[in-house]
Amino acid sequence: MLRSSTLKRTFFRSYIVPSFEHLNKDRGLSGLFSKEGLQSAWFDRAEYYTEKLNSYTANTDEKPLETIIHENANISSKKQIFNYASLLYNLKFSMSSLKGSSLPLPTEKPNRSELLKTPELTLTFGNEPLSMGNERLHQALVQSFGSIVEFRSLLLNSNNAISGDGYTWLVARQFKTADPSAIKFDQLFIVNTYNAGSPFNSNRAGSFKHLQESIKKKTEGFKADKVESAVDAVMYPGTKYFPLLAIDASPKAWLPDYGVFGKQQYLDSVWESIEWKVVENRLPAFETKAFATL
Amino acid sequence: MSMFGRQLFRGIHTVPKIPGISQLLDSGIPHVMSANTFKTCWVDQQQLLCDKLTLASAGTAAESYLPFHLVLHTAKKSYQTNIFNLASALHNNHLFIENILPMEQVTHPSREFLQKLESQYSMTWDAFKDEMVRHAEEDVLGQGWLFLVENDAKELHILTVQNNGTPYYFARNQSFDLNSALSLEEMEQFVTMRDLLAANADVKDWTMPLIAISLWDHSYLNDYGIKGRSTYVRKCLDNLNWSAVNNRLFSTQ
Repeated sequence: MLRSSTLKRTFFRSYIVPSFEHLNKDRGLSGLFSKEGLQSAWFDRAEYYTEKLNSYTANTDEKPLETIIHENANISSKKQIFNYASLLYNLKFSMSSLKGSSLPLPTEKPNRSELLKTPELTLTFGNEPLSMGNERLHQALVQSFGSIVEFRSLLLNSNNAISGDGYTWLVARQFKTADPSAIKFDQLFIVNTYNAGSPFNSNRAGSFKHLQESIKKKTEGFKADKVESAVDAVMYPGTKYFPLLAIDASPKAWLPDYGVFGKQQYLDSVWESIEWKVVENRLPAFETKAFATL
Repeated sequence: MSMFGRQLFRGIHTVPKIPGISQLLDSGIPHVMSANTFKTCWVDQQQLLCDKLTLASAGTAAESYLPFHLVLHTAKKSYQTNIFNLASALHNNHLFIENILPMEQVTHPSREFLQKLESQYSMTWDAFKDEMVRHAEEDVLGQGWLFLVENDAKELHILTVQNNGTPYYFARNQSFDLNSALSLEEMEQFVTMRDLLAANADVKDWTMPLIAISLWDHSYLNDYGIKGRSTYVRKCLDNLNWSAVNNRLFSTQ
């Protein structure tokens, strides 16, 4: 008791470096990160982002990260607060669903021959949501992406296509029901965010551009390029997306263990390390998409 | 084809040879990076970019261009962003390594450079380095580049670039991080740029890079850690190869 009250006084109204029970400084994360790799991928960054966030908020804030991300997304004078809160949120989110795997870490870092390797044409992979007993998630993934192989390819290739920093997200689109208290979703999507970009579309940055576009739409009338997007525009104004899973693309995560040529191998290891139970638990109730026959 | 008097060659991109490579692989760049980091940042990274660019361009119309030409050629073509990114990264990394290669004798900024800097910013080179470090710290959150450039009016400017932007063409500088809110000032620059391009799509940019510093993780993470990027940038600026930089400065001679 005494200990926690002193701590509270020392860190009065400031953010404390986050921690996870499954991430240990002395161990690394089996099958994904060595001790040094985890230090760079998680501990150093969690500490650095928290320090930065505290320095920009001048130790006066302790609101939930989601709240500061939401409040500051469109305020350029608070850009750095948004940046570090969002980085910290994204990093925490990506680490929260990694459990590690029983596969061995690469003993040697991949070399340039990795680029010319023939892709595996297998249709089944280890650690699939269904084989781990996540029936509901499996159904939702197949419904949205066609099959687990297609989902896996899209997820990992999207991440591989990020050349700098960023995250690849699996998100669920909220379906608006008459009952506002019921949270339901109708489809899953994969989306990339870059640098400190946030998966929450409701507060997406670039307000100026949005403003310009909405003026244009007002004067020219709304033109949709496809029937589907026209229906979407009517059906989903102000749609919300719930993040379910995030995968880190930053070299800070993969460079120490996998080296310059090793991003693909890192991504394959990430797949093996995902705790699908955590992902499934974030999945809201399912509703068949309106106009699904279009 | 031979009527152009030019031999066609297959576009396999190879890592440029740099002087003293075995010594560099042995002991790194004194005061700047360890031998390991030098290998990661130049030998491995440049090889990765060369191989990827070869794979992306071989057998296409882009095959027989040098990376620099590919940068200029693809900068305006958003559908060739893949090639642009690789070529631009390759070129920037070469500029970077060239201007931090250690020399046997200590090199110094030329009188011309110092005079230009002082008349334009009323600042010594030493104070200006702090400015450059500050810009890199504030403007580039993720991966990117820090440049000192000379524009067509022969003025010096600090230019920060996100990811693999290029200093040669203003519409592909990628100076703004559009993932968080833009300030009104940035937005104005953005709109000016857009209007300029709308009025004349062929508008030329004659900006030349003088100093290039890599802000990519592979060039500092191993030696300086996540919190140490600014220390690393300062080290680079303190140990520049001025014989390379002085040569890049415009001269009437």
